[in-house]
Amino acid sequence: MKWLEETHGVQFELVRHFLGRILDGEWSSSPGQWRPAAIGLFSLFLPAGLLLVREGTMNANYASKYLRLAMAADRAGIRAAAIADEAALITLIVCVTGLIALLEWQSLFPSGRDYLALASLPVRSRQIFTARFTSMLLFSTAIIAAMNVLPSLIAPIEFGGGWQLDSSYWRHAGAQALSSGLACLFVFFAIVALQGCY
Amino acid sequence: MLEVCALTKRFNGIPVVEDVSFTLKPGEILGYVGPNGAGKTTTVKMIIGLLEPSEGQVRFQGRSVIEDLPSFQARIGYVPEEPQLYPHLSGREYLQLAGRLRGIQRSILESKIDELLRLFSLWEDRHCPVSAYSKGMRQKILLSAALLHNPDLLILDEPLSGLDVTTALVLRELLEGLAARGRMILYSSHVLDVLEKVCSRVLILNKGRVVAYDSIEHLRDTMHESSLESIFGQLTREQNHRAVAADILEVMQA
Repeated sequence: MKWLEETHGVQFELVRHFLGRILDGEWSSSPGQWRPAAIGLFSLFLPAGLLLVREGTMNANYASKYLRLAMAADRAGIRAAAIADEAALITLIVCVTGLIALLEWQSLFPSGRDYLALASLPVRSRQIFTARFTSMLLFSTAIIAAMNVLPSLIAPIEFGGGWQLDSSYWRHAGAQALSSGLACLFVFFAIVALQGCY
Repeated sequence: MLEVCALTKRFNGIPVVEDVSFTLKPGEILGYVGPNGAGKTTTVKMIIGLLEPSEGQVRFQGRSVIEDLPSFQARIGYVPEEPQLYPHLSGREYLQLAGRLRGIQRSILESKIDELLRLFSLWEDRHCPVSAYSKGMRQKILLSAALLHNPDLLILDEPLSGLDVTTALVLRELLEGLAARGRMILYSSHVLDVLEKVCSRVLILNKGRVVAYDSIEHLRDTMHESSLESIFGQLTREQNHRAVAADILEVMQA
Protein backbone atom coordinates (compact mmCIF):
# COMPACT_ATOMS: atom_id res chain seq x y z
CA MET A 1 0.00 0.00 0.00
CA LYS A 2 2.86 2.36 0.78
CA TRP A 3 4.25 1.81 -2.72
CA LEU A 4 0.89 2.84 -4.19
CA GLU A 5 0.91 6.11 -2.28
CA GLU A 6 4.23 7.20 -3.78
CA THR A 7 4.59 9.20 -7.01
CA HIS A 8 5.34 7.05 -10.06
CA GLY A 9 5.71 7.69 -13.80
CA VAL A 10 3.31 9.80 -15.88
CA GLN A 11 1.64 6.74 -17.43
CA PHE A 12 1.03 5.11 -14.07
CA GLU A 13 -0.31 8.32 -12.55
CA LEU A 14 -2.67 8.85 -15.47
CA VAL A 15 -4.00 5.29 -15.23
CA ARG A 16 -4.46 5.76 -11.48
CA HIS A 17 -6.36 8.99 -12.14
CA PHE A 18 -8.65 7.57 -14.83
CA LEU A 19 -9.30 4.34 -12.92
CA GLY A 20 -10.22 6.33 -9.83
CA ARG A 21 -12.53 8.45 -11.95
CA ILE A 22 -14.35 5.40 -13.34
CA LEU A 23 -14.83 3.99 -9.86
CA ASP A 24 -15.88 7.36 -8.43
CA GLY A 25 -18.16 8.36 -11.21
CA GLU A 26 -19.87 5.17 -12.27
CA TRP A 27 -19.76 2.52 -9.62
CA SER A 28 -19.32 4.09 -6.21
CA SER A 29 -22.10 4.39 -3.70
CA SER A 30 -21.43 8.06 -3.03
CA PRO A 31 -24.55 10.21 -2.44
CA GLY A 32 -26.93 10.06 -5.36
CA GLN A 33 -25.04 7.27 -7.10
CA TRP A 34 -26.30 4.20 -5.28
CA ARG A 35 -28.41 3.07 -8.25
CA PRO A 36 -25.53 2.40 -10.69
CA ALA A 37 -23.64 0.70 -7.85
CA ALA A 38 -26.63 -1.50 -7.02
CA ILE A 39 -27.19 -2.37 -10.69
CA GLY A 40 -23.49 -3.19 -11.02
CA LEU A 41 -23.54 -5.53 -8.04
CA PHE A 42 -26.75 -7.16 -9.23
CA SER A 43 -25.27 -7.79 -12.67
CA LEU A 44 -22.17 -9.37 -11.10
CA PHE A 45 -24.19 -11.92 -9.16
CA LEU A 46 -26.85 -12.55 -11.80
CA PRO A 47 -25.06 -15.39 -13.67
CA ALA A 48 -24.15 -17.21 -10.44
CA GLY A 49 -27.67 -16.64 -9.19
CA LEU A 50 -29.04 -18.50 -12.19
CA LEU A 51 -27.26 -21.66 -11.07
CA LEU A 52 -27.92 -21.20 -7.36
CA VAL A 53 -31.63 -20.53 -7.80
CA ARG A 54 -32.10 -23.75 -9.69
CA GLU A 55 -30.19 -25.72 -7.08
CA GLY A 56 -32.46 -24.36 -4.40
CA THR A 57 -35.73 -24.74 -6.28
CA MET A 58 -38.59 -26.65 -4.63
CA ASN A 59 -39.20 -28.65 -7.80
CA ALA A 60 -37.25 -31.87 -7.17
CA ASN A 61 -37.19 -32.83 -10.84
CA TYR A 62 -35.55 -29.58 -11.78
CA ALA A 63 -33.20 -29.28 -8.78
CA SER A 64 -31.78 -32.78 -9.14
CA LYS A 65 -31.85 -32.85 -12.93
CA TYR A 66 -28.19 -33.79 -13.20
CA LEU A 67 -28.36 -36.44 -10.50
CA ARG A 68 -31.21 -38.14 -12.33
CA LEU A 69 -29.47 -37.84 -15.69
CA ALA A 70 -26.24 -39.20 -14.20
CA MET A 71 -28.07 -42.30 -13.02
CA ALA A 72 -29.30 -43.03 -16.54
CA ALA A 73 -27.30 -45.50 -18.58
CA ASP A 74 -27.08 -43.17 -21.58
CA ARG A 75 -24.53 -40.36 -21.13
CA ALA A 76 -25.88 -38.42 -24.08
CA GLY A 77 -28.71 -36.93 -22.00
CA ILE A 78 -26.48 -35.42 -19.32
CA ARG A 79 -24.08 -34.13 -21.96
CA ALA A 80 -26.86 -32.43 -23.93
CA ALA A 81 -28.31 -30.89 -20.76
CA ALA A 82 -24.87 -29.65 -19.66
CA ILE A 83 -24.16 -28.11 -23.06
CA ALA A 84 -27.55 -26.38 -23.08
CA ASP A 85 -27.07 -25.00 -19.56
CA GLU A 86 -23.49 -24.03 -20.31
CA ALA A 87 -24.64 -22.11 -23.41
CA ALA A 88 -27.37 -20.39 -21.39
CA LEU A 89 -24.88 -19.41 -18.70
CA ILE A 90 -22.32 -18.02 -21.14
CA THR A 91 -25.07 -16.18 -23.05
CA LEU A 92 -26.22 -14.52 -19.85
CA ILE A 93 -22.67 -13.51 -18.85
CA VAL A 94 -22.03 -12.21 -22.35
CA CYS A 95 -25.29 -10.21 -22.28
CA VAL A 96 -24.30 -8.55 -19.01
CA THR A 97 -20.88 -7.76 -20.51
CA GLY A 98 -22.57 -6.28 -23.57
CA LEU A 99 -24.68 -4.07 -21.34
CA ILE A 100 -21.58 -2.87 -19.50
CA ALA A 101 -19.84 -2.19 -22.83
CA LEU A 102 -22.83 -0.16 -24.04
CA LEU A 103 -22.87 1.88 -20.84
CA GLU A 104 -19.13 2.38 -20.68
CA TRP A 105 -17.90 2.63 -24.23
CA GLN A 106 -17.72 6.42 -24.17
CA SER A 107 -15.43 6.25 -21.16
CA LEU A 108 -12.92 4.27 -23.21
CA PHE A 109 -11.61 7.33 -24.95
CA PRO A 110 -10.37 10.63 -23.52
CA SER A 111 -12.82 13.51 -23.63
CA GLY A 112 -12.14 17.15 -24.49
CA ARG A 113 -12.17 17.87 -20.76
CA ASP A 114 -9.29 15.44 -20.23
CA TYR A 115 -7.13 17.24 -22.76
CA LEU A 116 -8.05 20.69 -21.42
CA ALA A 117 -7.66 19.79 -17.74
CA LEU A 118 -4.26 18.25 -18.42
CA ALA A 119 -3.22 20.83 -21.03
CA SER A 120 -0.63 22.63 -18.96
CA LEU A 121 0.92 19.48 -17.56
CA PRO A 122 3.89 17.66 -19.10
CA VAL A 123 1.79 14.94 -20.65
CA ARG A 124 1.61 13.87 -24.29
CA SER A 125 -1.76 13.33 -25.98
CA ARG A 126 -0.92 9.71 -26.72
CA GLN A 127 -0.12 9.14 -23.04
CA ILE A 128 -3.59 10.41 -22.13
CA PHE A 129 -5.15 8.12 -24.73
CA THR A 130 -3.13 5.08 -23.67
CA ALA A 131 -3.86 5.65 -19.99
CA ARG A 132 -7.57 6.08 -20.60
CA PHE A 133 -7.73 2.92 -22.66
CA THR A 134 -5.62 0.95 -20.17
CA SER A 135 -7.75 2.02 -17.23
CA MET A 136 -10.93 1.03 -19.04
CA LEU A 137 -9.40 -2.30 -20.03
CA LEU A 138 -8.39 -2.97 -16.41
CA PHE A 139 -11.82 -1.99 -15.19
CA SER A 140 -13.61 -4.20 -17.75
CA THR A 141 -11.31 -7.14 -17.05
CA ALA A 142 -11.94 -6.79 -13.33
CA ILE A 143 -15.71 -6.72 -13.88
CA ILE A 144 -15.57 -9.72 -16.22
CA ALA A 145 -13.35 -11.63 -13.80
CA ALA A 146 -15.65 -10.84 -10.87
CA MET A 147 -18.68 -11.87 -12.89
CA ASN A 148 -17.07 -15.21 -13.80
CA VAL A 149 -15.69 -16.25 -10.42
CA LEU A 150 -18.84 -17.75 -8.92
CA PRO A 151 -20.20 -19.39 -12.10
CA SER A 152 -16.79 -20.95 -12.75
CA LEU A 153 -16.75 -22.43 -9.26
CA ILE A 154 -20.36 -23.62 -9.30
CA ALA A 155 -20.57 -24.92 -12.89
CA PRO A 156 -18.20 -27.92 -12.41
CA ILE A 157 -20.27 -29.07 -9.44
CA GLU A 158 -23.51 -28.54 -11.32
CA PHE A 159 -22.54 -30.03 -14.65
CA GLY A 160 -19.86 -32.47 -13.47
CA GLY A 161 -20.40 -36.06 -14.28
CA GLY A 162 -18.94 -39.23 -15.59
CA TRP A 163 -19.44 -38.18 -19.20
CA GLN A 164 -16.49 -35.78 -19.06
CA LEU A 165 -13.16 -36.73 -20.59
CA ASP A 166 -11.33 -35.03 -17.72
CA SER A 167 -13.40 -34.87 -14.58
CA SER A 168 -10.90 -32.84 -12.50
CA TYR A 169 -12.84 -30.07 -10.72
CA TRP A 170 -10.12 -27.41 -11.07
CA ARG A 171 -9.53 -28.14 -14.76
CA HIS A 172 -13.22 -27.83 -15.42
CA ALA A 173 -13.40 -24.60 -13.39
CA GLY A 174 -10.38 -23.17 -15.26
CA ALA A 175 -11.83 -24.09 -18.64
CA GLN A 176 -15.16 -22.55 -17.67
CA ALA A 177 -13.47 -19.32 -16.48
CA LEU A 178 -11.27 -19.08 -19.57
CA SER A 179 -13.98 -19.75 -22.13
CA SER A 180 -16.58 -17.42 -20.65
CA GLY A 181 -13.95 -14.76 -19.86
CA LEU A 182 -12.70 -14.75 -23.45
CA ALA A 183 -16.28 -14.72 -24.75
CA CYS A 184 -16.95 -11.66 -22.57
CA LEU A 185 -13.83 -9.86 -23.83
CA PHE A 186 -14.78 -10.67 -27.42
CA VAL A 187 -18.30 -9.27 -26.98
CA PHE A 188 -16.99 -6.22 -25.09
CA PHE A 189 -14.57 -5.23 -27.84
CA ALA A 190 -16.97 -6.18 -30.63
CA ILE A 191 -19.54 -3.74 -29.24
CA VAL A 192 -16.90 -1.05 -28.75
CA ALA A 193 -15.73 -1.57 -32.33
CA LEU A 194 -19.31 -1.37 -33.65
CA GLN A 195 -19.95 1.82 -31.66
CA GLY A 196 -16.70 3.24 -32.99
CA CYS A 197 -17.94 2.77 -36.57
CA TYR A 198 -20.57 5.46 -36.04
CA MET B 1 14.95 32.93 -22.09
CA LEU B 2 11.69 32.55 -24.01
CA GLU B 3 11.80 33.65 -27.64
CA VAL B 4 8.64 33.94 -29.68
CA CYS B 5 9.62 34.31 -33.34
CA ALA B 6 7.19 35.51 -36.03
CA LEU B 7 4.32 33.49 -34.59
CA THR B 8 1.30 33.31 -36.89
CA LYS B 9 -1.95 31.41 -36.56
CA ARG B 10 -4.64 31.15 -39.21
CA PHE B 11 -8.02 29.48 -38.80
CA ASN B 12 -9.49 28.51 -42.18
CA GLY B 13 -7.04 30.88 -43.82
CA ILE B 14 -8.10 33.81 -41.64
CA PRO B 15 -5.18 35.18 -39.61
CA VAL B 16 -5.88 35.45 -35.89
CA VAL B 17 -2.30 36.10 -34.82
CA GLU B 18 0.16 37.56 -37.31
CA ASP B 19 3.90 37.78 -37.06
CA VAL B 20 4.11 38.16 -33.28
CA SER B 21 7.65 38.25 -31.91
CA PHE B 22 8.98 38.99 -28.45
CA THR B 23 11.49 37.78 -25.91
CA LEU B 24 11.12 37.18 -22.21
CA LYS B 25 14.25 37.23 -20.09
CA PRO B 26 14.80 35.84 -16.58
CA GLY B 27 13.49 38.26 -13.97
CA GLU B 28 11.15 39.95 -16.42
CA ILE B 29 7.36 40.33 -16.31
CA LEU B 30 5.95 40.97 -19.76
CA GLY B 31 2.44 42.36 -19.99
CA TYR B 32 0.49 40.96 -22.93
CA VAL B 33 -2.53 43.13 -23.62
CA GLY B 34 -5.09 43.67 -26.32
CA PRO B 35 -8.81 44.13 -26.81
CA ASN B 36 -11.21 41.18 -27.02
CA GLY B 37 -10.38 38.95 -29.97
CA ALA B 38 -6.91 40.45 -30.42
CA GLY B 39 -5.29 37.00 -30.28
CA LYS B 40 -3.85 36.96 -26.75
CA THR B 41 -5.17 33.57 -25.70
CA THR B 42 -4.34 32.08 -29.12
CA THR B 43 -0.74 33.23 -28.68
CA VAL B 44 -0.60 31.77 -25.18
CA LYS B 45 -2.01 28.46 -26.42
CA MET B 46 0.63 28.33 -29.14
CA ILE B 47 3.38 29.02 -26.62
CA ILE B 48 2.36 26.22 -24.27
CA GLY B 49 1.86 23.78 -27.16
CA LEU B 50 -1.93 23.52 -27.12
CA LEU B 51 -2.16 24.96 -30.63
CA GLU B 52 0.23 24.42 -33.48
CA PRO B 53 1.40 27.68 -35.07
CA SER B 54 0.72 28.15 -38.78
CA GLU B 55 4.11 29.86 -39.01
CA GLY B 56 6.91 30.85 -36.67
CA GLN B 57 8.30 29.11 -33.64
CA VAL B 58 8.70 29.30 -29.90
CA ARG B 59 12.14 28.76 -28.40
CA PHE B 60 12.96 28.20 -24.75
CA GLN B 61 16.57 28.34 -23.54
CA GLY B 62 17.64 28.28 -27.20
CA ARG B 63 15.69 25.16 -28.20
CA SER B 64 12.45 24.89 -30.13
CA VAL B 65 9.75 23.82 -27.67
CA ILE B 66 8.18 21.48 -30.25
CA GLU B 67 11.32 19.30 -30.16
CA ASP B 68 10.53 18.21 -26.61
CA LEU B 69 7.21 19.63 -25.51
CA PRO B 70 6.85 17.64 -22.23
CA SER B 71 10.28 18.89 -21.05
CA PHE B 72 9.21 22.47 -21.79
CA GLN B 73 5.83 21.94 -20.11
CA ALA B 74 7.63 20.54 -17.07
CA ARG B 75 9.30 23.92 -16.61
CA ILE B 76 6.26 26.14 -17.04
CA GLY B 77 3.33 27.02 -14.88
CA TYR B 78 0.18 27.94 -16.77
CA VAL B 79 -3.01 29.53 -15.52
CA PRO B 80 -5.63 29.42 -18.30
CA GLU B 81 -8.32 32.01 -18.90
CA GLU B 82 -11.11 29.46 -18.44
CA PRO B 83 -10.62 27.10 -15.49
CA GLN B 84 -10.85 23.56 -16.88
CA LEU B 85 -10.83 21.23 -13.92
CA TYR B 86 -12.31 17.82 -13.22
CA PRO B 87 -15.55 18.68 -11.39
CA HIS B 88 -15.65 15.45 -9.39
CA LEU B 89 -12.18 15.93 -7.90
CA SER B 90 -11.66 18.00 -4.78
CA GLY B 91 -9.21 20.90 -4.88
CA ARG B 92 -6.69 18.81 -2.98
CA GLU B 93 -7.08 15.84 -5.32
CA TYR B 94 -6.53 18.04 -8.38
CA LEU B 95 -3.34 19.42 -6.87
CA GLN B 96 -2.20 15.88 -6.08
CA LEU B 97 -2.83 14.89 -9.69
CA ALA B 98 -0.95 17.91 -11.04
CA GLY B 99 1.96 17.36 -8.65
CA ARG B 100 2.23 13.65 -9.38
CA LEU B 101 2.14 14.22 -13.14
CA ARG B 102 4.98 16.67 -12.62
CA GLY B 103 6.91 13.93 -10.83
CA ILE B 104 6.99 15.59 -7.39
CA GLN B 105 7.63 13.02 -4.66
CA ARG B 106 4.76 12.46 -2.25
CA SER B 107 6.52 13.64 0.91
CA ILE B 108 7.34 17.01 -0.68
CA LEU B 109 4.08 17.27 -2.59
CA GLU B 110 1.74 16.73 0.36
CA SER B 111 3.35 19.44 2.48
CA LYS B 112 3.43 21.88 -0.45
CA ILE B 113 -0.25 21.27 -1.20
CA ASP B 114 -1.24 21.77 2.43
CA GLU B 115 0.73 25.01 2.66
CA LEU B 116 -0.67 26.40 -0.60
CA LEU B 117 -4.24 25.49 0.36
CA ARG B 118 -3.81 27.32 3.67
CA LEU B 119 -2.15 30.36 2.06
CA PHE B 120 -4.87 30.66 -0.59
CA SER B 121 -7.58 30.28 2.10
CA LEU B 122 -8.87 27.00 0.64
CA TRP B 123 -8.06 24.78 3.60
CA GLU B 124 -11.64 24.53 4.85
CA ASP B 125 -12.89 23.50 1.39
CA ARG B 126 -10.02 21.23 0.45
CA HIS B 127 -12.17 18.11 0.36
CA CYS B 128 -15.14 19.68 -1.46
CA PRO B 129 -15.55 18.81 -5.17
CA VAL B 130 -14.38 21.48 -7.57
CA SER B 131 -17.93 21.66 -8.96
CA ALA B 132 -18.93 23.31 -5.67
CA TYR B 133 -16.17 25.94 -5.88
CA SER B 134 -16.70 29.54 -6.92
CA LYS B 135 -14.81 30.91 -9.92
CA GLY B 136 -12.30 32.59 -7.61
CA MET B 137 -11.68 29.37 -5.71
CA ARG B 138 -11.08 27.47 -8.95
CA GLN B 139 -8.67 30.21 -10.01
CA LYS B 140 -6.78 29.78 -6.74
CA ILE B 141 -6.52 26.04 -7.39
CA LEU B 142 -5.12 26.71 -10.86
CA LEU B 143 -2.64 29.21 -9.44
CA SER B 144 -1.55 26.69 -6.81
CA ALA B 145 -1.15 24.01 -9.50
CA ALA B 146 0.95 26.39 -11.58
CA LEU B 147 3.23 27.18 -8.63
CA LEU B 148 3.61 23.68 -7.15
CA HIS B 149 6.77 22.77 -9.07
CA ASN B 150 8.51 26.16 -8.80
CA PRO B 151 8.46 26.82 -12.57
CA ASP B 152 11.05 28.81 -14.51
CA LEU B 153 8.35 30.37 -16.69
CA LEU B 154 4.90 31.39 -15.52
CA ILE B 155 2.21 32.05 -18.11
CA LEU B 156 -0.89 33.74 -16.74
CA ASP B 157 -3.96 34.32 -18.87
CA GLU B 158 -6.33 36.66 -17.02
CA PRO B 159 -5.15 35.41 -13.62
CA LEU B 160 -7.22 37.91 -11.64
CA SER B 161 -10.49 36.61 -13.06
CA GLY B 162 -12.82 35.98 -10.11
CA LEU B 163 -10.18 36.64 -7.45
CA ASP B 164 -11.02 38.74 -4.40
CA VAL B 165 -9.09 41.94 -3.68
CA THR B 166 -6.85 40.39 -1.03
CA THR B 167 -5.81 37.48 -3.26
CA ALA B 168 -5.23 39.88 -6.17
CA LEU B 169 -2.87 41.88 -3.96
CA VAL B 170 -1.13 38.70 -2.83
CA LEU B 171 -0.71 37.66 -6.46
CA ARG B 172 0.80 41.03 -7.37
CA GLU B 173 3.36 40.76 -4.58
CA LEU B 174 4.02 37.15 -5.50
CA LEU B 175 4.75 38.02 -9.13
CA GLU B 176 7.21 40.70 -8.07
CA GLY B 177 8.85 38.21 -5.73
CA LEU B 178 9.12 35.58 -8.46
CA ALA B 179 10.61 38.08 -10.90
CA ALA B 180 13.15 39.10 -8.25
CA ARG B 181 14.14 35.41 -8.05
CA GLY B 182 14.79 35.28 -11.79
CA ARG B 183 11.55 33.72 -12.97
CA MET B 184 10.05 34.73 -16.34
CA ILE B 185 6.42 35.80 -16.30
CA LEU B 186 4.10 36.34 -19.24
CA TYR B 187 1.05 38.17 -17.94
CA SER B 188 -1.91 38.41 -20.32
CA SER B 189 -4.71 40.56 -18.98
CA HIS B 190 -7.27 43.31 -19.48
CA VAL B 191 -6.63 44.80 -16.05
CA LEU B 192 -4.27 47.54 -17.15
CA ASP B 193 -3.63 49.21 -13.80
CA VAL B 194 -2.20 45.97 -12.35
CA LEU B 195 -0.11 45.41 -15.47
CA GLU B 196 1.21 48.93 -15.20
CA LYS B 197 2.36 48.26 -11.64
CA VAL B 198 4.03 44.88 -12.10
CA CYS B 199 5.26 44.68 -15.70
CA SER B 200 8.67 45.79 -16.83
CA ARG B 201 7.62 45.71 -20.48
CA VAL B 202 4.35 45.51 -22.30
CA LEU B 203 3.26 44.15 -25.65
CA ILE B 204 0.03 45.54 -27.08
CA LEU B 205 -1.77 43.40 -29.61
CA ASN B 206 -4.55 44.60 -31.89
CA LYS B 207 -6.30 42.38 -34.46
CA GLY B 208 -3.55 39.81 -34.13
CA ARG B 209 -0.71 42.25 -34.80
CA VAL B 210 1.79 43.83 -32.43
CA VAL B 211 1.12 47.56 -32.24
CA ALA B 212 3.50 48.32 -29.38
CA TYR B 213 6.28 46.44 -27.60
CA ASP B 214 8.35 48.46 -25.19
CA SER B 215 8.83 49.43 -21.56
CA ILE B 216 5.87 51.29 -20.10
CA GLU B 217 8.05 54.35 -19.28
CA HIS B 218 9.31 54.58 -22.83
CA LEU B 219 5.80 54.25 -24.24
CA ARG B 220 4.60 57.00 -21.91
CA ASP B 221 7.41 59.28 -23.06
CA THR B 222 7.10 58.65 -26.78
CA MET B 223 3.32 58.79 -26.89
CA HIS B 224 3.00 61.67 -24.42
CA GLU B 225 0.42 59.80 -22.38
CA SER B 226 0.29 59.52 -18.62
CA SER B 227 -1.06 55.98 -18.21
CA LEU B 228 -1.06 52.58 -19.86
CA GLU B 229 -4.82 52.86 -20.24
CA SER B 230 -4.54 55.99 -22.38
CA ILE B 231 -1.69 54.45 -24.42
CA PHE B 232 -3.80 51.34 -24.94
CA GLY B 233 -6.80 53.47 -25.90
CA GLN B 234 -4.81 55.45 -28.41
CA LEU B 235 -3.38 52.34 -30.05
CA THR B 236 -6.43 50.13 -30.14
CA ARG B 237 -9.55 52.24 -29.89
CA GLU B 238 -11.66 52.49 -33.00
CA GLN B 239 -14.69 54.00 -31.37
CA ASN B 240 -15.23 56.78 -28.92
CA HIS B 241 -16.20 54.94 -25.74
CA ARG B 242 -18.30 57.83 -24.44
CA ALA B 243 -20.28 57.96 -27.68
CA VAL B 244 -20.83 54.18 -27.63
CA ALA B 245 -22.07 54.31 -24.02
CA ALA B 246 -24.42 57.18 -24.90
CA ASP B 247 -25.76 55.19 -27.87
CA ILE B 248 -26.43 52.14 -25.65
CA LEU B 249 -28.33 54.31 -23.18
CA GLU B 250 -30.39 55.66 -26.04
CA VAL B 251 -31.20 52.14 -27.29
CA MET B 252 -32.22 51.08 -23.76
CA GLN B 253 -34.56 54.01 -23.34
CA ALA B 254 -36.13 53.75 -26.80
